[in-house]
This record gives sequence, C-alpha cells and structure tokens, in this order.
Amino acid sequence: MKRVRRLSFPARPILTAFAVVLLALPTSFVVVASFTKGIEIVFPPHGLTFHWYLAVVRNAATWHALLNSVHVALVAVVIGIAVGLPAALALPSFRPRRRLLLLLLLSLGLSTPVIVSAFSFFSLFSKIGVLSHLTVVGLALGIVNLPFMLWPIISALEDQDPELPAAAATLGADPVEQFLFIRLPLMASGIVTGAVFMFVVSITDFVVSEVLTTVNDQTLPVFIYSGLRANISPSLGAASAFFIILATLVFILVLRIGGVERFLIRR
Amino acid sequence: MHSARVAGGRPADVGVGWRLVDGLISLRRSRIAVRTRRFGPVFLVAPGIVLVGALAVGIGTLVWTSLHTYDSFLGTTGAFSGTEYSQVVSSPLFTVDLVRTLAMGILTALIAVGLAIPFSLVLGRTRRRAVRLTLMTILFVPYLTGDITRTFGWLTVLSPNGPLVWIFGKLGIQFPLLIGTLWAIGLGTVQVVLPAAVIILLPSVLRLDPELEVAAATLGARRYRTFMLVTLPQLRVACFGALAACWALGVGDFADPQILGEGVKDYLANFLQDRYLEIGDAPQGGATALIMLVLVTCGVAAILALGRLRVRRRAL
Amino acid sequence: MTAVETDAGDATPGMVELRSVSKSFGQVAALCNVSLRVHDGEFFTLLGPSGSGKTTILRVIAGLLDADAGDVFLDGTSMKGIPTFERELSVVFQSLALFPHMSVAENIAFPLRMRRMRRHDISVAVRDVLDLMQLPDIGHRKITELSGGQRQRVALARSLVYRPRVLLLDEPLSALDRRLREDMQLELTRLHREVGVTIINVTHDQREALFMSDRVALMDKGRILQIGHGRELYDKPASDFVAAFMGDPLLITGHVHIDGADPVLETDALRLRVSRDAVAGPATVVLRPERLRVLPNGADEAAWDNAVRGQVTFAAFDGTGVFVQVALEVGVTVSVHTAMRDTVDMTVGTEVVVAWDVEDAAIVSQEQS
Repeated sequence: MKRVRRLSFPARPILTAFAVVLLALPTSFVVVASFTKGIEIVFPPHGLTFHWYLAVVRNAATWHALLNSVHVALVAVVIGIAVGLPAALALPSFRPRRRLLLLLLLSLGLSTPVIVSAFSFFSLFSKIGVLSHLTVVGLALGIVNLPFMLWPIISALEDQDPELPAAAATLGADPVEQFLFIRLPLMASGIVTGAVFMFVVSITDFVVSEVLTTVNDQTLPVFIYSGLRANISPSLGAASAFFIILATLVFILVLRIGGVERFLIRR
Repeated sequence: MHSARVAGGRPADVGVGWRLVDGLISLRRSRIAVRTRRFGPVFLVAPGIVLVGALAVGIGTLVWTSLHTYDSFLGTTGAFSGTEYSQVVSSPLFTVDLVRTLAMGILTALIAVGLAIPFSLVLGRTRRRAVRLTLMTILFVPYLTGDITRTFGWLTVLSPNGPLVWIFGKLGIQFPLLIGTLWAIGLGTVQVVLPAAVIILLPSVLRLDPELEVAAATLGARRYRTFMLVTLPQLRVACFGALAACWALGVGDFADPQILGEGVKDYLANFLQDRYLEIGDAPQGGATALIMLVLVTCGVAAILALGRLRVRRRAL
Repeated sequence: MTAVETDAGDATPGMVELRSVSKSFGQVAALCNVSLRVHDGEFFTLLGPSGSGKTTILRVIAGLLDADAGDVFLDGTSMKGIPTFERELSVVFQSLALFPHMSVAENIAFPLRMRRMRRHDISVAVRDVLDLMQLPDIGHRKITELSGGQRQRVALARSLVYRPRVLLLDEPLSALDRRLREDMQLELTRLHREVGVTIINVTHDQREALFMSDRVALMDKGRILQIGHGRELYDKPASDFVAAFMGDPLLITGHVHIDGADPVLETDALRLRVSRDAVAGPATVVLRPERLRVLPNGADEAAWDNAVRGQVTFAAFDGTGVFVQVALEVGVTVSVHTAMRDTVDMTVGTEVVVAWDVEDAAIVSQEQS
C-alpha cells in the first residue's frame, strides 16, 4: 500500500488551512489584544502589558457580572443533570421510533433559532412574572442547551458492554446495585463531559442572556457587549480572555476524559 | 437473601453506605415500585419533556400574541387577526432583512460545507494524533468561547488598526473596512456553523472506503475526478445534512449581524428583537419569530428533499 | 417427533435439572422440550454446533432468559420467578465480562461485597482464591493490564470466590489460541477436582468436551440427541449425527442381516461384519480413523473381522502419527490414523489392506432416529 501515492485533493490542505485560520485567528487575536499597551487596540501593539488584566480584576462590576454568569451556568448544569441524566437513561427503553422522537423533542432548544427560544422564554416568563431572576435565565439555558448534556451521556451508554450488568447480576447484584456499581461508574465520563460542556456554553451564552437579563444583573458576555457598544478597549479583551482560557481548559479536560475523540472518531 | 449465603465470612455490620443501598433495594422491591415499574422510563423522561414543553409553550405564547391586533400606544391586545403579520411584512426593513438573511444563509452554508469537507477529510484520515487533536481543538474552542469573544475577535482582527490592514499595508494593498459589511458577518457566521458541518460530515468521512479511491486511481482517474466521482457522491447525504444544519444556524444568527454588522446589516433575528424590545411591539416580534421558524423548517425540508433527488445523469 | 433425551432411570435428584424447557425467539425455536439432570459435583458439558441451543440453556439456567415453557430446578428448588441475582450460581461469559473500571481484587471482591461480607474477610477470600488460581500478586492490577490467560483466571476466580453451587461456563475458551486453550482445559479440570463445584460447560469443541467432562450432552437444533459419558457417545452413538460429530469418521449406511451368528451390514458395494449387538434393519457403521489398521498387501486378512483392499491416495505425518487416505476397491475412500510405530509402507499408490475388528466400529441402528 505504501507504493500507491497518497491521494489528496490538491486544494485540500489549502482549504483546510484557510478553515483553520478562519476558526483560530480571531480568537487568538483576542489574547494578543488583551496585552496591548494603550487604550486602542492596534497591530502591531505598541507594547505588552498586564495592565488590562489588573484593571479587570480590580473592577467590581466585572466581578459582579462574572458571578452572575457562574450562577446562571451552575443552574443550567444542575437542570441539565437532573433532567438530562434520567432522560438519557430512559431513552434506550423506548422503541427506536419513539426514542428518536423523544430525542428530537428534547433537542427542541437547539433546533429552533436561539433568538426565537430567547423571546419565547421572555414571553413566557413575563407572563408568569419571573422575568428578572437570574435563576430562570439558568433554567432557560438548561433547556436550550440540553442536547449538550444528552449526547455525551447517550454516547457513553452506547459504548457500554451490555454483558457487564448481566455478569453483575449473576454475581448477586440487585438491579439497584448493578446501576450504582456498574452502569453509573462507566457512565461517569459521559456525565462529566456533558456537565462541563453545559457549563461552558451557558457561561459564555450571549443571545439568551442578552434578551432575558436586565441592566442590573448582566452576565459577563452581556457586560462585555455593553462595553463594546461604548468603545473597543483592551480591557474587554482581558475579560474575554477569561472565556478563552476556560474554553481551552474545558476542552483539554474533555479530551483527556476521552469522550470527544471516541464520539467523533468512531464507526 | 443477601446476608444469607456468605462464603465463609460473617454478615458484616453494614456501614452507612450499604444501608443506603439496601434501602434503595427495598424501595425497588416495594409494592408501589413494582406496580409503577412499567412506567419507569416515562417518569424518567417526563421532566425533560416538561421543561422542553415550557419552551414550546413559550413559542406558543409568542405565536398567540402575534395573532392578535395590538395597540402599541395603549398597550392593549385586540381581536384575533393577522394584522400584525401584514404590518411586519409590509415594513420595508423587513423585506431587506429577509432577503439578506436568506441569501446569507444559503451562501454561508455553502461556504461552510465547502470548507468542512476538506477539513473533515484531513481530520478523519490523518494518522498523526497530534494533528487530529489540534484540528479538533481549533474546531471547538472558538465555538466554546461564546458569541461575544468570537465577534470581539473579529472586531479587532478586521479593525482599521488590526493585523489584516497592517499586513496588507506592508504589501501595499489597502485592506477594506469590512466591519459593518456583509463580509464581516459572513466570516463570523461561517466560523460558527463550521463545527456543526464537520460533526455531521465526520461519520460519513470515516466510513469512506479508501480502497475505492485507490481503485479509481489505478483505473487512471486523476485526483479531481476521483474526488468528484468517487468521494463526493458517498458524502452526498451528509453534505445535504450539513447544509441543512448550517442553513438553520445561519438564518437564526443574531450575534454576528448585531456586533459585526453594527446594526446596519440586520438579519431577521435582529429585526425580531428590534420589534419586540425597541419598539415594544411584542406581537410583531412574535410574528417575526413564527416567520423565522417557518423559513428555517421549510429551508431544512427543502434542502433535505433536494438531497434525495436522484441525479439522473452525470457528465463524465 | 418427540425429542426428549434424558437420563432414563436416574432417580437421584440433581443439582441442576431442566424439565421440558422450551424457548423460542420469534419464529425460531431455540429449545424444544429439553430435559436433563446434572448431578452434584459433576463436570457436565453441553456440546453442539452453533445454533444448537446450548448457550440458550445456559442463560435459562442462569435466569438471564425466561423459558417459554418448562421449569428449571437448582438443588431441588424451582427457579420460577427467581431472578438471576438470587440464584446463587456463577457464570463465566465468553467475553469474560470483567469490570473495566475495577482492579483485579475489586472484581473478585465484587460478589462478596454484594453479600455484605466484612472487608477483612473479603481480602482473605480474595487472596485465597488468587492463590488457588496461581496468581498471587496481581490484585492491584487493572483489568486492562492483564494477559489473556490471566484474564481467564481472574474471571474464574471471581466466579468461584463466593463458593457458588453451580458454575456455568459459556464457551470461555473458544477465543483462545490452542496452547492457552489446552492449558486452561487442564486448569479447569484441576479446579473442578480441588473445589468440587458442579460445572456446566458449553462448547462446540468435541475434544474439549471429551477431555474435561464427566458426562456430555450433545445437542442439535434445540434438542438433546444423546447424554452420557464421553466414551458412550464415542463408542455407542445414538444417531448418525452423534457419530459424525464426535471425531471424524466415515459413515457407511446399509442394511444389517443376521447371517448365521454374525450380523453383516450390506450395501450395493460391500459386505462388512459388524458388532454382535447389531439388530437387523437399516443401519450405519461408523469407521473412525484411529480405530482402523493399515496392513501391507499380502497380510493375513483372515485374522481380522473385516479387511478391505485399497490404494493409498494420501499420507502425511501430522505430529502424532500418520494420516492416510486409502481408496478402497469397493469404491469409498477411508481415512486412517495410525500410530508412529507402524512400519507399513504408505507411499502414495501402494496397495494396502485396511482392517478392523467388529468391536472397533460402532453400529447405529436407523430404526431409532
């Protein structure tokens, strides 16, 4: 097989490189921007400084917004696990067609345009009267981003050897024990991956938060947005850098757990 | 039963943990549990369905309000009517935004899938783990950083003081200001839909049989032909799936037009927010929402149907 | 067509008993009215080709499958309605089903923890069983770090540590290479002797069945064809299928006449003397390669009950003896496996005589089947 020359579409590496640049350039540049000396972001930067990071850290408003974001994200994760884990466990018990239908229903949040979901919640929450609470923003995000919790868990369940719980049964394990000691630990990686994804997409969420939050309880992305409309300062870069670091750490963690590679590169 | 047969040991003083487990076991065996066992899966899925139902109800309230007349001055809702829709549709801004959204939706979908195919081929076929991991990281991390970080990145990259202007300036070319134009929005949209396209394409790419391509080569086909006649047809279904997904995401894009378009190149999503919050006319917002849902659904259906059309002839 | 093959006349209650068990999967009947009895402490093998239902029986005994009809008894108690985890038996699956997220010791300790054994007693039991399996120091290792043979032993250790009354083996050796398989076969017989547990083994390998078992039940298409000691199935097969499944014989079907004192099997082409137990009627004679002799041309044919001339068409040394194929003058080609010591010239083309006595060939009456 080595003798046959490797077939590659001549433009394939070029297009891939273009895609790579497209994907990576803006995000990497945020990091560069956050170190810029001077109040305007110029390239090449006049100098590098940690000044903006210090400014952000000292700014109480930024912390307030960050805490709001964390609040919202944690609520979303809790909702995701409490609702998504049982659902993922129950799905295999249904017949294939019903299972698919249920899965599609549960993915409603991602299959409708985010703006529509955001205003649906706006309309619903204002009718109920809970509009100005951060917790309901977390609830909304938990519902919208539910697939991020479902897919890793379902994937982990599918990878499981179905003979293992049967073996546990022959060894004397009650179904409760089979679940607690065999099925659950083997699912753990999926649950962690789902929770972590859910956390990241909820903490970085912009559209839903922008619609549902008020000026007094902005989450960090909305806070940065309002700053953007004023002027584009490197301090916003520093604040955004937080998200970049978080996203990178999360992704490395998820890769190490192993779920992502298996999810994509299988079959 | 459990403490009855212990091979050679004595039943232990069970710790707290085991007592909990035993409690759960007794629970499972209790009469109530046995009676309701058949409904177990339904109970487990129910919370999810209920919560998603809340979203559905929300959409319903949007649609409901959109079907009534509304007096924005008095803030009162009137009779069942389609006037809100006619008001929305007749607005000149709407038409412009609609055409822009649809055109950009298709365009960015095509470009994204066009980039996703080689990307997936490289990602799926590379034998080096480092390459695979790097590509996966580059694919997902920008998406995970969120809309704001992403668009902020574009704002700085494309700014008049940014690196692109600087690099091209060194080459003597005046790099145009893209912010506030569809170019910037397009770049942002492609960036955000690309991961979805790759996720959809990857399984099919992995299922490709490389031997078919080798066979084509030994039969004398050049690379371009092989790609068009052997590789691409196998990816057909996935391509259309990816197109549909990119369409749905692109048409619904809010952040890129809002931030990179600087408000002058609105999509329907921005129009929606505008009507709902700025003007304060919720029914018109609801009408726009329903129109968006219809467009997304019809578009997806149309694209998938297109994918299933049998192509009669292929010019060889 | 009744298909009940039981140990007729065996009145002692068994450790495992199946009574008229049937099981279907949709249209496919996996088990048809199967009854058998396994004695306490016995090494019992269910032998048969794939699809014969042997694994299904195992799963029904274990409670992993529910029978459509019939009943399973363990130590005299009906298992109807009793779930798997209360049956006090153990199963070694073909895949071994070792828990990947636990270490060796944790895997082995698992059934003891399910029985709420005290931690100290558990570690003693685990250590003891690892010694029994001759794997003293690997308790801390992860399952993924073990070799194939070690994994087999850990699976056995886990299944024996809680002293079950029955051990069910679902073809656990079939994926192993030959050397490892033979080692494990010896290992299993040793364990059986030392521990004394009742073992029901499922396999498609008749050599394995003969080697390890006290008794063998040969199955095909959901029915038991014959139960007995290995030797019985070998020397006194109840049907052509049984005869053909054990070893690699040549079957010649004809008609048995009682010619004076000696029964004779006749076909169009030949006339062979057969065992004095044979009954008149249609029958099959079973010629096993290892029970036939090859004599040089001109040997004293009258010294043997049967002697047929032929020509060698193939001969090869196969490590344990010489495998010869002889085209007999009556029109069939027969295989013979001779011991090393025979010094007959067996080059291809040589004229030889294939000879055997009537007790070397089993006779299967066709009336029964």
